[in-house]
Amino acid sequence: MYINRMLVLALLLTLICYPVLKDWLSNEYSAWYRYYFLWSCVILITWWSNRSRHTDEL
Amino acid sequence: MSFSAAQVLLLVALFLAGLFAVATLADRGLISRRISHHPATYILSLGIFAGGMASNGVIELAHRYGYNFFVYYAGFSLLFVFSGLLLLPLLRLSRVYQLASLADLLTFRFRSARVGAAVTVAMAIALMPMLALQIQALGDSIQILSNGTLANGNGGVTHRSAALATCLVMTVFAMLFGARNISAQERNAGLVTAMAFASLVKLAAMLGLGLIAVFAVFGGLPEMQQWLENSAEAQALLVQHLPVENAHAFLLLFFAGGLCMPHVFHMLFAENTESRDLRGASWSVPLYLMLLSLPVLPLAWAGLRLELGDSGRLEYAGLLLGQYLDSPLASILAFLATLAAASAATVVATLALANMCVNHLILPSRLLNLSQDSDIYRHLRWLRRALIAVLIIGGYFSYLGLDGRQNLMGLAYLAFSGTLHFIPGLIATPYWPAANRSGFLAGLWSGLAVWFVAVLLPVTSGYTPELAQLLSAILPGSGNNAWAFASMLALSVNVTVFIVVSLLAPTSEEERVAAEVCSMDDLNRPVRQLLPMDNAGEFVDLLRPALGERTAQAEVQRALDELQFTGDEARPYALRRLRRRIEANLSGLLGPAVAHNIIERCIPIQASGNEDITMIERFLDTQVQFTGLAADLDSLRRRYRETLDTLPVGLCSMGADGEMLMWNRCMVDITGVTAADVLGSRVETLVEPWRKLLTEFRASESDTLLRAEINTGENNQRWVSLHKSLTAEGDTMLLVEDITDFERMEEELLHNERLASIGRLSAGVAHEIGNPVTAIACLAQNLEYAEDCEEIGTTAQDILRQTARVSRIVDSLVNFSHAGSQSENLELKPCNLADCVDEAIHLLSLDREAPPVQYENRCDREVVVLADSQLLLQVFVNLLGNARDACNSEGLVQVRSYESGERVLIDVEDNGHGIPTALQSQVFEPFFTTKDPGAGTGLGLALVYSIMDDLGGSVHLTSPLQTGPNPGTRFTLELGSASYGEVFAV
Repeated sequence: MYINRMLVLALLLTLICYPVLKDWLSNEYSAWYRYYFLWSCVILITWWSNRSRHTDEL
Repeated sequence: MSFSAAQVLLLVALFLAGLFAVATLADRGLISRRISHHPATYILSLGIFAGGMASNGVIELAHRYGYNFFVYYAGFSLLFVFSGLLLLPLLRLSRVYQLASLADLLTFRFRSARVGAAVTVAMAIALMPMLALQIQALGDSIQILSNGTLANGNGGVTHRSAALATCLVMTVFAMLFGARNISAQERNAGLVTAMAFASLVKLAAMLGLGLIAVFAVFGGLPEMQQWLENSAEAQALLVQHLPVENAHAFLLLFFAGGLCMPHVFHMLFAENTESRDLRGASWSVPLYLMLLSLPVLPLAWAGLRLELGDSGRLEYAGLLLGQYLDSPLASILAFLATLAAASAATVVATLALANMCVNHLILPSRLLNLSQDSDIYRHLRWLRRALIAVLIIGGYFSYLGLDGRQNLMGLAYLAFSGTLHFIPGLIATPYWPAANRSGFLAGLWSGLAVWFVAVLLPVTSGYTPELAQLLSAILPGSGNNAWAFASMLALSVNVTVFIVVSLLAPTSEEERVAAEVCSMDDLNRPVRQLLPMDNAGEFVDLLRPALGERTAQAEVQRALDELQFTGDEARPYALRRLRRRIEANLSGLLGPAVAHNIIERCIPIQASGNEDITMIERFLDTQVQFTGLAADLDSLRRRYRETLDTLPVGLCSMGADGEMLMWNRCMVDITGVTAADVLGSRVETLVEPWRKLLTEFRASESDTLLRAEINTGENNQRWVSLHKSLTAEGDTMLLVEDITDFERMEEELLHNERLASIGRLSAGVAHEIGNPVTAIACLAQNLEYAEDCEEIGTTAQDILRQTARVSRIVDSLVNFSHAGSQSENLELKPCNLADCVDEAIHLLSLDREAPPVQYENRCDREVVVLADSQLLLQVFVNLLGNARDACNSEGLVQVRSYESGERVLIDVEDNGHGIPTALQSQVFEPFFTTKDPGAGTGLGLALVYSIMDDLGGSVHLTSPLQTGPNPGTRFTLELGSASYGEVFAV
């Protein structure tokens, strides 16, 4: 079974950056739609990373 | 604005009727398969994760923790964003081994029925708060929608009885559509489409509510933004900080809970078999959740601005907004969102839990005697339906028992923190082969015990045991924060015990094999097992005692169809695959524990051999991607495989038990038997003559057989040489070299040598005989005219006739001896083939004493060959003369030509008596003839052969051409084609 190393790396980065990211997002001067902006970026990156994959890697 | 009981029940009935209609139409194919099986439908059906918590509880979460409400969506979204790490490996296992639930998966991984039972019981306990949450969301919504009138039993109806009625309708729906397909292999199109429909309704209703909040409460987006900037209270609400530990705990809860929840697991794996759909879900489920979350903040702000929180709980901000604005549309949208969310989650959760109960509690305890049941499928279906009803009613009583002491967020927290305890086992399945069942069970029960004491009891009953009091004194935080710590403590206990016990307790061999199968870096190497049957048909007899005649037949046939095998399949490899497939199919039907037990009992393995190379190769060839060292090794393996496959000699290997393990392309060319037909079968089942040849050579003591003659059909004689060696594992490697061309060339060389010798001899004999014969002829001629005696004259004429005959023979010998010697000086020119044949026919027609046969020259008039016209004429005169002599008075001799690339093939065919097969190898030998003594010299065909060789062509014989009294003969000449040049080109 194929282990996607980029995914593992991304997961580690997410965990490491989570507190910093959270502070950046939840400070009182940030716009409420920052979360949605970030969320949209994650969706786009996920779509991009899956678009060229083989249809069945099982 | 309030609704009456009849109106509320009408709303419920309308929505659930919609669900029924969609499910029925999809099941009956009236909704196009393109829609019901579209990836978007599957993706939308995953929206069942967003139950009552998403439609209501999350607004309270936003109100209490501001931006932190995103963790609810983020946890589940991350599960999909990182689907390659956990979801795809689990989907692979679920698909291959037909595992439809978490209990199935963990039972398969730890090879223990006790694991399945433990998971089912624990899941039932953890799921009750989840079911209570859905029903409470419905009950409270009905109460608010009716403006409290139903709560007082107005007209004999209370909001609880309305909720019960809703539960009953949901039960009927789940029983009708959920338990329809009892095999995990079949996608339940009706259920999936209905759940996708519910998700769409939920999304549309939530977005509609968001728009009402923005435009009806604030007057538009800019106004809302302006209010937000001016409202200190709203600003403060947004940035309410959740301690980072709690944020992590919530994230983990919704990440793990999302995966472990039975309804999510069911939709993810049991109703989906395509990794393509899951890849689509990796970005589209987060997108769906993002859209669903859009109205949450506007609704929370609307509640804050209109102070809706004062008049009721903010979880139901949508309904309260409808009442405040006196807007039936807003109220109906809010209720529909709750109804769609709660009903979908309840139906699938109870359905999945019912399957787990049947497979892991009822069937293993042998409450149902499978072998005596005439229709197992029907019994299982009704059993599941009954359990669905029991579970929904159980959820309703949990709701009554909790009596509204907890809000939706609290109930969700309880359920998610309970299901969190399955995550260590789930992660260990693909990632930790050393984990074992003792560790898993010890960890699960330890963690659940802490959860029960520190979380469940205090939250549900208000009773806090001394141990929990001690824990709350030690642990930091209070309220929900304390729950988070208690949950993390329970999980820590679970993980620690799991690891320690797994490392200390022994792991059975069976468990070790299952661990390797489940592992991401699957090192499992299947072995060739000997099964107690000779063909696939015997599986039914073996399974009959356990499953009954009808079910055994149905399951064996299903497996045969899936593998595209027939009932008389006898290859050991195919039988092993069939056994695995039947076990997988039974696993989808009865659960892995019962299926494994039945297969082990009914179809025991008699003996195990070496590694199953065919299965391993097949598995490796289907792998699309390897990385690192594995990729390098696989590349090397493919290269060596290709080298062996393209060897110019035949290579086959067989195990010690005679099973064929390798059959390269050259073997296919030599034998005409494909690798697919041979691999995995025994050498004894090969077709003749290969079976006899390979079996005898394998058994012989000699390692080499230099020359073996084989007949693979009429007129198809071949020669092969064989070599063999034994590997350390006892496998036999056989090299088979086709030496037919070599043998034929050697035979031809010998023939040519014989011809040359005879030619030389003929020249000498002709020379020595020619002169005396000429002298005798002269003397006889003189004698004829010198003597008047009639008797002497007659004798002299006889002598002259005989000397003339001897002269003809001598001339033939001279021609024959000269034929080979002319090759170097021959000047080949373009000759018109048809003209040459015409001339030969004309010459033969002059012989009035010959039998009257019909000649047909069908040669293409345009065909020109490269030859010497006189020699070619001699060839045709010989062949046509022989053909004429072989025919009777109705004989027909045909000459045809056809071009093949740069060569011209000429058939000289007759319908005469033919040439016996035994004599065919001698017809080109000099002095060989089948004619009567004196009728032929036996040099004609030898001369033809020799001339054709000189012309750079060849001659072949085919006989008989047909059955019957006149089988006929065909001589095929092959010559190079030519042209007269461009000047003559038409």
